[in-house]
Amino acid sequence: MVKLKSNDDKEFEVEEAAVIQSEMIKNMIEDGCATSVIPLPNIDSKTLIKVIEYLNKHINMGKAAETGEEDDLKEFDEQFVNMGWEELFDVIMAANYLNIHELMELCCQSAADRLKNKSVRAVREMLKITNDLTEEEEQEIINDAPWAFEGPEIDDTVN
Amino acid sequence: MFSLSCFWDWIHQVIHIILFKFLSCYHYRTTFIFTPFHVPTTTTDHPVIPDEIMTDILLRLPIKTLSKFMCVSKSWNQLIYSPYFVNTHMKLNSHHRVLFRGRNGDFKFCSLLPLFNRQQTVEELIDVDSPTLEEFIVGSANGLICLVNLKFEAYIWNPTISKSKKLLKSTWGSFSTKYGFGYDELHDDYKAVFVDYYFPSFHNVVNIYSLRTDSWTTLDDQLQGIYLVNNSGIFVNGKLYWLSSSTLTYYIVCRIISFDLADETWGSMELPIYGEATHHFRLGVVGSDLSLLHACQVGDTTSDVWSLNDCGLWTKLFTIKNPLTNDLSIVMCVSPLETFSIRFGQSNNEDLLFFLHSVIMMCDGLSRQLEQHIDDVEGYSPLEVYEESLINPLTISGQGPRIRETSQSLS
Repeated sequence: MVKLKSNDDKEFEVEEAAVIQSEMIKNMIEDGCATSVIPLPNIDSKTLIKVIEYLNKHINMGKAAETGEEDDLKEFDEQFVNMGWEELFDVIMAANYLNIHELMELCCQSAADRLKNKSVRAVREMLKITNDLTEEEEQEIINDAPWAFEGPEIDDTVN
Repeated sequence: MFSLSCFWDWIHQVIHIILFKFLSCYHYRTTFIFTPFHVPTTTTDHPVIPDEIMTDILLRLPIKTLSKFMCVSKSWNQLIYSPYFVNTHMKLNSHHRVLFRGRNGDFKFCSLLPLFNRQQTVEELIDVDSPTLEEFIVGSANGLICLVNLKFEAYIWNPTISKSKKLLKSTWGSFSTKYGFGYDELHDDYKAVFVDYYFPSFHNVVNIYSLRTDSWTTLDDQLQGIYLVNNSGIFVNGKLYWLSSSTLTYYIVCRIISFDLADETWGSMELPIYGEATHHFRLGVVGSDLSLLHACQVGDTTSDVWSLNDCGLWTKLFTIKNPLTNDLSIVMCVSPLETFSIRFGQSNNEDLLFFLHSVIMMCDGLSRQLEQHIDDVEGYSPLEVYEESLINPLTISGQGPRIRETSQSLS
């Protein structure tokens, strides 16, 4: 078992087979640096619980193909990313820090799917981006590709 | 107790961020004042998404969405315009479309992938604005299509983003012109090559257009005694290929002639088959390899497909059974002026799509039997397969030669 500590000082025990999906922790174990608790100063306990849930489910990824559990895993992934926008980004940041490639793929794809049809206004609000373009510049970009700003799919909601 | 690997992780992230900032400052639009990349300001305590992660997410989005998101902020605009982003997006998202032409010379398109479904003929064709009507399609590379109209005007056009560049007028255009278009990776340039033959001396002039410098180079009589056969050169891996004949009036295919777009030199290679009725060849592409269709005589039931492998050796890929209907069987045998292409699907069954002379045929994966698939949809016939891309011919032209150091550090 490997012990992980979140930035709000909560400790979690995770099976080594699960936790080595994180390249960062795998390297630490290989270097003999994981004998005591591993502090994760960038990750809060709420996010760490989500990440551990993912790691435990994906523990036998290789075996899933043999035992026909692929569909089960796919369903889990779909359910897993069904979370709030900010929560999703916390998981992305954690996956990036821990270097868990598959989780990063899953969450970035989910973020892209959510952004795909969003209006410009909605994207700015969701990502808290200040518009620093002048009205003229913005109009110039719209005039350059008017087809990109039309269509029934464009969604102005922010979730 | 922090390990060496954590340290490297940290270093890796810092390098990533520095690289991203450098890239996102590289922008084409001169209307915007240059500003160092700035991290969007937040109104809450919530952490800002690092730029490299945001780039990772944006690279997954379709072209329509990205064109819309160009007006989210200056930094997004600069990023989506940057050559790094445009090129990476194209490598990661390989979506192909089929261009159809109507009887009035106008264009429509549909996605390539659904055409592999046997049950489905064609989903709805979608209108696309073209820069000119009644064109001849020279070829396509990285989503850019080169076309020429009856007035000898040439365009480089990206139908996905509706942007086109009219080529400067030049003196090209003779009683027999052979065309080619492709991408020169070394100079990150798109080049059109138009070879003119003049009557009665049959002397030739090679006209080369560079999109990056927006200019023509003319080379006189480089192909003495060599007559290019197929109207459009086949573009594969940095080179254009033509079948060649020793006479202009009656085609006797004897060799394959290549033109290297990077160093602008000609080469030649042998055909894989000798001593047969050599005017029944057609040049084409299978997947991404140069290929040759040997269709023999009218009435033959099979055709051979040859392909040039990475080692420069010809191998016979497979023998296909010609279509059972007479009309299509004849299509297989007509002149070597036309080219062909074979596309693979993504599914496990090995059905192939065979594009030939405005007809799409399905080639059964097991029996290798060719059959009619699509030839005419509401008066529109299939013309060309091209990639979806963000590459804007207008921003590439007139930029001058590219500084190599920049592009190397982007890889």
